[in-house]
Amino acid sequence: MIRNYFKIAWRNLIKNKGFSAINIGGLSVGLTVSIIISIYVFNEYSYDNFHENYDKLYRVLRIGGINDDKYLIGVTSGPFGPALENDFSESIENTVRVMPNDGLVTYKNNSFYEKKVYLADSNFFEIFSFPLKEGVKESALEKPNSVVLTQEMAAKYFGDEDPMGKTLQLDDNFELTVTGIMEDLPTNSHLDFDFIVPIAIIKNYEWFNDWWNNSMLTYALIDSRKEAKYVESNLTGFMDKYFAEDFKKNDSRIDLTLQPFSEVYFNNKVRYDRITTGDNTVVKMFLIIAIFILLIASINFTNLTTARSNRRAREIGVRKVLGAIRSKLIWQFFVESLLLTSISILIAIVLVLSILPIFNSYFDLQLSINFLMPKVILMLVAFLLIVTLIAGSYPALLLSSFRPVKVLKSSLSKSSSSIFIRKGLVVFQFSVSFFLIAGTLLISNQLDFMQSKDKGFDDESVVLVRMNNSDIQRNAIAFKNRLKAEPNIISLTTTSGAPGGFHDTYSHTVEQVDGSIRLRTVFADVDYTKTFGLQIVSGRDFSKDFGTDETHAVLINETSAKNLGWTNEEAIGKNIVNTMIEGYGTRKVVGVVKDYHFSSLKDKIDPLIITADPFSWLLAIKVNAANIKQAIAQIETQWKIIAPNYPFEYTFLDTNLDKLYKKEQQESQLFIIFSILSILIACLGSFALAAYSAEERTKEVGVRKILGSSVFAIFLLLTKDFVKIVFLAIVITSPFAYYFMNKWLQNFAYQVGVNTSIFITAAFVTVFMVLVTVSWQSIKASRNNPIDSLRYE
Amino acid sequence: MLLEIKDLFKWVNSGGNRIFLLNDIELTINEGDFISIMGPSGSGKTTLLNIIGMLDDFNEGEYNFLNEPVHTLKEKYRANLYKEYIGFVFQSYHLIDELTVYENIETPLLYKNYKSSERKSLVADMLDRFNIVGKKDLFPSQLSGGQQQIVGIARALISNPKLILADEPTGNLNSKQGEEIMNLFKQLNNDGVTIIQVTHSEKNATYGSRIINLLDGMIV
Repeated sequence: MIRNYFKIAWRNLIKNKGFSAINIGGLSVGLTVSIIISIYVFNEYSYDNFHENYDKLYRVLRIGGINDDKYLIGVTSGPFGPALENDFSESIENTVRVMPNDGLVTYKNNSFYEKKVYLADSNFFEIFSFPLKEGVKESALEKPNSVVLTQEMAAKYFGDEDPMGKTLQLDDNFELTVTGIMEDLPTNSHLDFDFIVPIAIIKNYEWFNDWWNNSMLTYALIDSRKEAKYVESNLTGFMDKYFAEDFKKNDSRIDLTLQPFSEVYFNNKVRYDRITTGDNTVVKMFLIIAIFILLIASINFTNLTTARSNRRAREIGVRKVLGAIRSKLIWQFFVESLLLTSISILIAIVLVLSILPIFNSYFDLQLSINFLMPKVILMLVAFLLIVTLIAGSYPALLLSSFRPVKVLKSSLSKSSSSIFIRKGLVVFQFSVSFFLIAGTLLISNQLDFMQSKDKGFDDESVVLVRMNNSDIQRNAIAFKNRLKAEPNIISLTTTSGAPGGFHDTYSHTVEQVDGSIRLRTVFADVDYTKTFGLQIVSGRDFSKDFGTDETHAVLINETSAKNLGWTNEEAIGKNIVNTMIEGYGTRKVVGVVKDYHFSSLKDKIDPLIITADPFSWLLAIKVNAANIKQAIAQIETQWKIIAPNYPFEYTFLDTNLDKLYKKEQQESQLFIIFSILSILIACLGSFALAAYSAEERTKEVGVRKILGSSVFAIFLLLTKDFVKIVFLAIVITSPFAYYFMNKWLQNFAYQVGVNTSIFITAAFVTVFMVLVTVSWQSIKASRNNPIDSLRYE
Repeated sequence: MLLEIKDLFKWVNSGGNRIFLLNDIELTINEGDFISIMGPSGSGKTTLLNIIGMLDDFNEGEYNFLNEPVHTLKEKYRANLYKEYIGFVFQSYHLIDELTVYENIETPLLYKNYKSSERKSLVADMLDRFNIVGKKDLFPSQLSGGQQQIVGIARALISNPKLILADEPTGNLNSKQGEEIMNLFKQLNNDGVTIIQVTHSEKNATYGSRIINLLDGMIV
């Protein structure tokens, strides 16, 4: 029986090549998109779950705040781990500190500046499951001067040599013996490193034991959820025990919390974080898009099958007369949709395999799929069954319900309910397409807006150089002076962070203001505002002429002034103290800078204080835009003179700023791809539907033409139904689109706003696409000679 | 007695008027009968045939088939009943275009859950009986009308029905082909199969043992 079903299904498929091609084409594209998105989603949700201790691991986060805004902070300082382990010895089994770092790594004559050299406690490999290919996980980090590196790095430095026992040099002060080789990291790890060095090598530095020097990640291993709850409820006391005095002095407190490992990856709201994070909303959004695209493709099958039900009606009638009960016919039609879906899945697999590498390189992902894995096979079977059910159900139920007496008389009246459902489904298809197109427009509008909005500072031809080694730091002033003498260098400043980069938060006390206020900070030399083209709205800029600016002056931004209850003018001369930095002294506000976007335009402008301080690690150099290449060559020459052992590296401020929106940009590109695909698949369906309806109305068209109707009138007659459907879709979808767009925009402090032009453009595109697809059929039908069409009767 | 129809009415309502398609039909058919139903277009011949074949409902009256009261049976039992005992032959053959001659004949057996080996031998017998073994792998479109109707009859006979219902079986055929088909029916009837045919042709009606004339839904 089943064989018989497949035979019929196959012959039907071959017989109706166009119909099959449209269905298989749409379904394979839909399935390809869905499979790729599923891989992506699986990968996102599998983050960190390879750790054996996944359920027992927690990250220690601090809770800080800018005044009343509370937020989580990713980094902690050295003493937290041991103190927690000590104070909660009953509950906390173990803690491990991980400090993301970078450094110059040298083997023989090869030196590379490595960005992912992490320092960690010696129990790192016991707590986390990063398998070692060579070395012993319990002892690899036991001796302070050891290092474990990934296979990839082993090959980079040692080539064919056996790395074990060899010595690598880190910066100019550590000789490290290779004690282990790791397998390359899984792509779904929030910790992303190439080297692990025992944190013991820095244990003796004074800052390492400073509670306020937050530069590392602290993880705790806790046996049960109950114990973790117990620890969490006692963290306030823990903090009071160690920080009571500081809290009093700063007039603000910091709290601690435990973040379960399952939440680490998706919490991208944690500030000052140094791990890989993902966005759960985006993952969900893509999941929904995948479902919608699959639905659009399934609807094509449903619609095309029911539209041509007339052709199958006689067969169904005969089969019933021959004794087929309804359930057998339902099975037969399900087998047909199963066959079509199976073929589409096979094509989709080929497509996925060929597209995935392109997709990966374009979006900088590392997704992979093995179609032989049981999990993947299960997923494909699930897709097969779901699509078969969704696409095949309605046709199976409708077709199997035909009564033989009616259909065998061959005067099948068009069932109005099936036409209604068909139209409804087309409305749905174009609603989704319209929604995606409008969404795409909004996202790209918002991106354009953020990237072209006046940020309040000058980001053009600013070169950033990290003074990342002791040679250059010791001679920073000499380096700066040498650069200032170069012709293509307009201005330069050392700073703790460039706009778009790092701006730490500190507590400050302010004259005449009760309590303390938390402000974002920049520590920079006197040329900061000049280099970035910031505007002074009251008071004056820093200046060397006063001599004391570097010890006594600060600038604040307008938001700070406003938050402190001052006008820009009143702010001048007020005293401010950073309560968290020893030796900061009391500083005077000498000027107010116009608000500028020192962080992403996703965030609102926070209160900011700029402290004149010549010792910072980042050098921002404004160069002559006409001679950027020469300018960089000049900087490099000077670098080589002062720090010959270290590779010279630089970035451009504007490209760094663009990276702030990289995620949104990728989203927008994906959105474009998905909306194009969705409308293409939907149009494919309409194309076929238009063909059927033109065919069904052949006689009507013939009669109308004989009665004197013009070609254009016929064209309108055949096209207007589709246009009506699309307009209906647009009208229905617009309110939803409006709602979700506004919701999406809430992620951004500065919004472009949902304007009608987005809807008009999206509507225009949708209608245009439909017109183009449908017209072809309509024109063909309307130009037929009526003699031909009426001869059939 | 094979079947019995008593006081049967079928009507449709059109614009407030009740139009009778069948009006007070009274009919008894015995096993071995060869009945021809005649009458002008619209007289209700096909409707009556469809009701006998249990494909169509009626509004009032009784219909007993092999002593089963069809009018009270549920759809599913009714389907089982006609599946078991009735074979249909159509004017336009109604072969399934996607199936070969062999598969067309086999189809009723599939729906009756015959085993594969049984199906093979039954279909082979049937192909033999009608001399169409050589055509078994052809599709309907590759056959002449007469040949298609022979396949149609073979398909109707495959499940060994007691009753064959034929709706103008020669209507689409030329006279020579038509004669062939009618002779085939005659032969089947001689073998014991009950046949009810709807026909316009006086000549075809003479093959039967009894003629029922219908006019405006009434037997005259």
